[in-house]
Amino acid sequence: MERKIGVYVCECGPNIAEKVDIDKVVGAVSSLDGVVVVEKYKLLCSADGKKFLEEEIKKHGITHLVIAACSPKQHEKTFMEVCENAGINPYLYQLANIREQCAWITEDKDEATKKAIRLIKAAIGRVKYHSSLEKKEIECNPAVLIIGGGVAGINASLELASPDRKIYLVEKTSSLGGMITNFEKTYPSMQPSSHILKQKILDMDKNENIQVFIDSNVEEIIGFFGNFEIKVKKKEVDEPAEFEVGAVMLATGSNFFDLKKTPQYGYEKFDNIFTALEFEKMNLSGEISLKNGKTPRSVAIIHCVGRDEKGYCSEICCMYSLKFIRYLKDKIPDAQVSNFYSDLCIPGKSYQKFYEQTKGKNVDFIRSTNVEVTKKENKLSIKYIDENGNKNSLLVDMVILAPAIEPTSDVSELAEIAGISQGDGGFFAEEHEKLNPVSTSTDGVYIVGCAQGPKNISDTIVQSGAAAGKILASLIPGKKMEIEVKTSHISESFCIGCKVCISVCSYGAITFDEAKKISVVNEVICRGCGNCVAACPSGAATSKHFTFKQIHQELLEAVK
Amino acid sequence: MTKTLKINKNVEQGILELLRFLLDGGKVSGVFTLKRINKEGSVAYSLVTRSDELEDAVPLFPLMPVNAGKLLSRFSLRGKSNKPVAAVVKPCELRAFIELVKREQGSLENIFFISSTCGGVYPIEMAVDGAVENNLSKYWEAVKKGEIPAQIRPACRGCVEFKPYTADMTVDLVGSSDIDKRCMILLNTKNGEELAQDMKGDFLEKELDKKILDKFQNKREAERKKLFDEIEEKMKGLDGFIDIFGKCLGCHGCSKVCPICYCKLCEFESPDSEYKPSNYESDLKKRGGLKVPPGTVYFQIGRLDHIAISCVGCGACEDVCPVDIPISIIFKKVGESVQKLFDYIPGRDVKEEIPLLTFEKDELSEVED
Repeated sequence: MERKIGVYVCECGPNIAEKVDIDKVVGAVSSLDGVVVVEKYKLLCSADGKKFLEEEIKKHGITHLVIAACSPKQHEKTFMEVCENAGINPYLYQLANIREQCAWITEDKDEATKKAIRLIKAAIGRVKYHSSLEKKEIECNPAVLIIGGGVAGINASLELASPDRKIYLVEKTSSLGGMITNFEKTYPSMQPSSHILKQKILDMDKNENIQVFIDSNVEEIIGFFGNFEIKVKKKEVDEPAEFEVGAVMLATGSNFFDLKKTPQYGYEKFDNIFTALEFEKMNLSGEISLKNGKTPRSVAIIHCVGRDEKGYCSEICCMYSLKFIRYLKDKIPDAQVSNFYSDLCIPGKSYQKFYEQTKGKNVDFIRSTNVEVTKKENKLSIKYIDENGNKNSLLVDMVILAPAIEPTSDVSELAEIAGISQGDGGFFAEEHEKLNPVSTSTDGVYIVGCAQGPKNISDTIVQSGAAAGKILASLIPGKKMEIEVKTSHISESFCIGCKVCISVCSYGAITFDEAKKISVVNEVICRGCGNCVAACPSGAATSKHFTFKQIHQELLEAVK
Repeated sequence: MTKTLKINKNVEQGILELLRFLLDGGKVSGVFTLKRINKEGSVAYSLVTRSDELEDAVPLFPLMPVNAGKLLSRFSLRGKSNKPVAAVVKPCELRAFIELVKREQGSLENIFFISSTCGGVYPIEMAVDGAVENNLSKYWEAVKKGEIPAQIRPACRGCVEFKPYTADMTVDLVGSSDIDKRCMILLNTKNGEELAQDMKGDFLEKELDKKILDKFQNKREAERKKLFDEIEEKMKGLDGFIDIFGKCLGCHGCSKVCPICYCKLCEFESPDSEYKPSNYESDLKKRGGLKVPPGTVYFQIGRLDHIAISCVGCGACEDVCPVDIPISIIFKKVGESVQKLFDYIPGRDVKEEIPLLTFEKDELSEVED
């Protein structure tokens, strides 16, 4: 087939035209082998620009298209659509980035122009070797597995469940609700936490599209976005339940820092020292009292327990400590409450107000370091170094420790089962901290709530909603799912079966055919990263849109 | 101290007695060893199941017709050996096999390894006209004294990995002055001990003589430095490089015999690597002249890139090179420098991962940002 390459150079308004001599660029590439037309245009991504391109492709019978414009991150897809509309395969096109990589990085117009010419020549060299690739679609299962029956899991279940989308919720304990069930009230509204949960749990019970497994653990997740096979094992039941889903959400919550690692706080050594969770439970039971049954007159709340050991701030301890002051003041109005903190973390639109309203008579905030708890007669003595560097101490009846939030003990096991990695602090790693905090490196596996990092109830609900939204948008009942086209391929005759590719594949996309003793790419999972191509010693692995030939030609032109 | 079997016979006879004992007693079903093919000194690896077949066996013969690692890989590529086999191999052959096992090209299961401290092997060309036979007595004299025998492969002359790492049994050869009278076999593993159990001979506790082997090591190191320095001088710059590799015929013999070149179909032999008219045109346009067949230097660099991390320095490549390119020294030198980067000795331990397939956490900081 004769190749007719069309090259279109975008001025991007003044963005490119000011720094790159467009006419010179056009002149430099117009007589190259295979190039039938080179044109410049003010703004190719505009509606007029796209229409112009479409007409040009048809008019000149262009078979291969090169656009010199901006970053592919911005408009690669735009021009692929143009190709489709004009009737050529969208993979027979290449974008040369002459804006971010030329115009925007130098004041020197000559240099920018020279580089632009090289990049366009490289794109022309490459596009000649492009092959048509066809879009692929697969059937998918709209059902969702949610692991963890706390507020995140419950909320997501209710958001997602519908007659054409079944939800499987797996909870390892014997009841739903998670951490919140221990709380009497939530901050800053100080409304009973049962308001948040009770109705939702009732709704769950009524919803026939939600199947809840309690006392159960997920044993196996095999497959890929749209088609996961799941095994769930219930305690004391031999046979695991098996079912299929299209997506998985990990809402497994968190644990508290192990206080054995900080013996200076005297926990489990002296009476009347409680963890935050123990105090929540005591408060929920209706009475705040010492071991001898008496009411505490003075209470110390020690913040930031384990912060140095973990190396991060757990975000929520300051706020729930303020809530504890409210609990104490409600039940023992004249109690003296002293807070020992290293930094106060009270961000957000309503937390400062909550803090101001909580401060006041008999409530102290002491910025301190080297806090230590010992016993003195029948009281507890807090030794500390204050803000001015002076040693000080205080006698109290009761101590509450606010320990750091850490991942649950089964986090590594779950990460392995779900095929995702762990990041900072050992929490599940998100795909991108800012751009994609609920997605993971594995398509179709989402992380929400404290499983992703310490966070409060509202942020947890925001995340579970976000992940639900992603699932609703991508896993549509009855609709097929488009999969990556630019995948890797392993040649049967070249593969030597050394499994090197399997070791370097980040997506678990390569399996081993034991009968043939060769590696096989599952193109549904493959994301086309090219690791296997680089690692394969026998040249058996190739990447469909990054063949050796394409890269070689591109480089050849770029450095010529 | 290591449990050691002492057989009061010369070392060759001792090993043969052990092999016969293993076969006759049903402790192994097969023995993998070198056997004489003719009187000119040609030997080949054979798999033997009857002890009378061991008559022509020369397990310690100083010749490596093919790296045994490559052969054992083919033996166990499509599945492990069903029956126990004892293999008598040189240390670098054992290491090559371990490297291949790491790449799923063989299985260690049911293979027991008998190796030795190694004095080196002669080039294959000496095996065709009786030269090896004529040299044998000189060879063993040198080995007994802990000296480097004359005329052995250059790769062997500079080899410092002459002690096997993972053999079940190690025969004490280098610097062992009484190998004419007795055969000392160190039983390094539980398997080694079990195999030798009930064998006629004395069992004692022994180690290899560190002093003697250190001295030998120093000699080898000095020799290696000489070889490396020479090649460094010759290979200087692009001209030096072309001087040396420009001779390459592109016969790919080196890759055929290399134990680490394990691909069934070499990409360099595939149609993809064949020059098209347009390739000739563009190369000629640039340079005005082109060596034919093209790509022979590229082939050598490609091969070097592929195998450097696992090159065991056996020297088989140089042995078969028809134009005498000092490949083994070049590959050894580059290989060792790459291996040093990762503190990796190919074939030291089957559990040690190939550096390409693993990473250390602090390496990540080098590529971050």
